[in-house]
Amino acid sequence: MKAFSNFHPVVIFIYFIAVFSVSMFIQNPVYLFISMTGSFLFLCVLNTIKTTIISFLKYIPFTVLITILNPLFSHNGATPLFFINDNAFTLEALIYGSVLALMILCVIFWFKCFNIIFNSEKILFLFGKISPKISLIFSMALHFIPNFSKYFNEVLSVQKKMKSNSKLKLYINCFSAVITHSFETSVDTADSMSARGHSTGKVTNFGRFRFKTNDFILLISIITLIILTYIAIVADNTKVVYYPVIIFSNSGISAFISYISFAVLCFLPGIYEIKEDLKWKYSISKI
Amino acid sequence: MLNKIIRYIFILCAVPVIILTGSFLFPEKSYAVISVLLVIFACIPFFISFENKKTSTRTLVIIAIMTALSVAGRFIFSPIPFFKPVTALVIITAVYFGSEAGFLTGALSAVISNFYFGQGPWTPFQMFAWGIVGFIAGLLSSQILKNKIIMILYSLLSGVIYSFVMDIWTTLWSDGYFNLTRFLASSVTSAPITAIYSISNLIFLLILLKPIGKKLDRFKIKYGI
Repeated sequence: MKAFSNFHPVVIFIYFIAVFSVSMFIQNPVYLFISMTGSFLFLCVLNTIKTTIISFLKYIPFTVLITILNPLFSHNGATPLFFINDNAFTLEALIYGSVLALMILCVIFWFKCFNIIFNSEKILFLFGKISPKISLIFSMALHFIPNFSKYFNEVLSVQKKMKSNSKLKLYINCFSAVITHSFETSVDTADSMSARGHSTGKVTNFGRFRFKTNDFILLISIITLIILTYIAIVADNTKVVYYPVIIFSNSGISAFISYISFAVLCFLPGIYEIKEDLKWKYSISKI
Repeated sequence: MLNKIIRYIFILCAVPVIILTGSFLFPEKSYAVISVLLVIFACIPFFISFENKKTSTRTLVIIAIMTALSVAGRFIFSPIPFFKPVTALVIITAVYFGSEAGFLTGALSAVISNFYFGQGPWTPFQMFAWGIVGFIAGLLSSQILKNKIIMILYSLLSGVIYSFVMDIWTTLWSDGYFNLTRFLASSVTSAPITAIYSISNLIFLLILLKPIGKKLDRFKIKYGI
């Protein structure tokens, strides 16, 4: 059930850049709150609701810590609540701290979704054309890692029976064996690559991604929504000033449009997943 | 040669200078994102120069192997907390195959291991931190091999470089600008972990450098890399 990951990698990547650019750059609590709920919904659909709530609860001490730490480090702001060693603990700094905490939480949650949706295959597809050599190294390393771990466990189980060293020494000995083994096999790999004509021509990439009509529709809607969002931001209609006094400017219809379009952008993948899920269940129930 | 030196100076100095001046000049704005972008840009010259150079297939495979080993090392040594061979392997690669290979191994190990341990906005910083550790090791390669004291000093320093870069990141991320008191506080709180990292680097290098070096030397002669 990851319907959203079936879109073209370029489109998904643009989507995440669009969401991150607002959730990381813009320190307006309305955007951050929208973005937070959007990522929460998306993660609930990708994982289960229970694990998402548990991971959310885990971050609460962290957010409280950031909120409290900010006024301790920065003493800007016009309304002091109390003084610690002649340094003011201000209301503005406290509020700014909570906004920062919300922002960090947002980014962490969006990155959780990003990790699930954007696997190494998509990264390779995206950067394979730009940088063929590095993506080749990348994919080879991804292939070697499980092999090495497996080989290490084999060596370790033998070594454990043979002699009892200290744990660190034992591990390092086995690791050394893995290194020797990996160098020997690497020559075979390299030679067979050369034999098949590597470094004689252009490296092509296998990708099973095709740019379909759906991708085009999604791309257009992402671009429209993000432009609508940014119109108000660029015009300073949704600007929030924290120091010395909090000024929350929410002027006019453009701010409203901006909030709405950002909300649509954030809730898009979650709603899309739910829709696809319902469609699937409906088609099963028909059989 | 001059071109090369200018490029190295640009890579080593420009980026930290931009990050620091930017955060001092505009303290009220969020520079976390800008620093992430800068760090990504800092890695680009290395990738470009590697991409443009002619490299043999064997060198490519060796870099892939070293990257895979350092990522697998992070799993393999998971029963022993704090002892991770990543930095040591990056340094060894850099010493035997040059600073560029060192940078690539460090940077790619960071990206790939974060596929297992979780990507985040810290990934570019980890890439840069490990990459630069490898890069400097490559520049000092002959001294590290000849002089044991320099080897010990550098392996201790590498832990400090890594945590220095990551502390800058922590400060920028949690404050939105470069707050010196916060930076000092986070450096102090991370000091014990930095010390453990440095010592584990040292232990790994002391144990691994000679045997792996022997293998690599034999390997280089046998297959002509």
